[in-house]
Amino acid sequence: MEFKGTEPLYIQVAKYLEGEIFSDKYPLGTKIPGVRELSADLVINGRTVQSALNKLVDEGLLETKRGLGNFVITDKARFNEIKHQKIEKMTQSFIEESLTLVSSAELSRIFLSALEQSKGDE
Amino acid sequence: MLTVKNLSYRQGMKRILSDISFQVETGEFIGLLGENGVGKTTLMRALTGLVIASKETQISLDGHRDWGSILAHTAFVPNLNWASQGMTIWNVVSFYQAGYPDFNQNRWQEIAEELQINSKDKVGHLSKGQRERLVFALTVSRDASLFLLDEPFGGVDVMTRRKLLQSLLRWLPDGAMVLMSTHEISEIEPVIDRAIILKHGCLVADKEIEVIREQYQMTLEQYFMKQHAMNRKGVEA
Repeated sequence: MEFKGTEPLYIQVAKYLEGEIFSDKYPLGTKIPGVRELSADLVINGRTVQSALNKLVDEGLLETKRGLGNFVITDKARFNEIKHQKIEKMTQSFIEESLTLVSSAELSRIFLSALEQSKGDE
Repeated sequence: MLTVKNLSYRQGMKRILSDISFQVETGEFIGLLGENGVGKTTLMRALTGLVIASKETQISLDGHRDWGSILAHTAFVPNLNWASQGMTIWNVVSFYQAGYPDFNQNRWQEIAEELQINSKDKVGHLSKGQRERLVFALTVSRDASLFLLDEPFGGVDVMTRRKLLQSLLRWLPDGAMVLMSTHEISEIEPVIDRAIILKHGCLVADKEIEVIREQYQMTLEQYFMKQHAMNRKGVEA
């Protein structure tokens, strides 16, 4: 994975793993590789990986089973809720940033036409 | 834990290292940074008694203060000059294994395979990059407490650098401490816990990566450049 800017590394690792989980690389109930394995695969400090995993446990996306490791939660409703919250948060910061440049009417026009465009691409 | 207090080293009238103090906690991975000639290699040599630091210097590794014990728990291969050109890598490994009871044969095999080290090759026929890989593999194959890696990436391409770092992260014993000097600052930023920066033989910075990013809002490279733009009094030039 590539790191951007000066955002703390563990947050970027947490986002990366979150992306892997939401994109179904690790479906509901599956085990996430151990700290050492992730650390070597991603070429990232072990403590950074541990902090990232702790963050995902705190957010409720992962659960730690003692002596077994970390697993994606099995509660589908809760999983979708976390995914939904994440998208809402991303949308919110996108809107806030955009409104410093254009009016909300203009933004809504741009957004709808971009959405229409990507529907055509699918 | 490694504790270094007031480490100084002179060569005649010339001060090579001045009053260096730092600690490494169990399991910590430290990047040792600085331009060529600032004393990174000398620091590693002083930590293992290969050069004799001044008498006020105090070094302790996991509570050991005598050179015999410190050396026994430190993996450091300063060079391959001790191996004759005609020796095969297999000879070198047997020699090394005889000298260090903590040599881990299984780990050696895993790493040698991963780094494509051919034990039948003769030392005299190795390229610079192959020698670096051999030094690295010999160092990392010990079950030591402290690992000293002096520019393990010299003459090594980007894919091999990645492999070396992956081997380190995958194979080092739990709780191992690593002190690694390198110029590949952005490549090691995500791998190390902390950076120690030397300048003119002095320790000018000792900071955790996440502190540099979160508090100073800088990448390690930006922080390193900033340390270099400052003069010895810590004032920006």
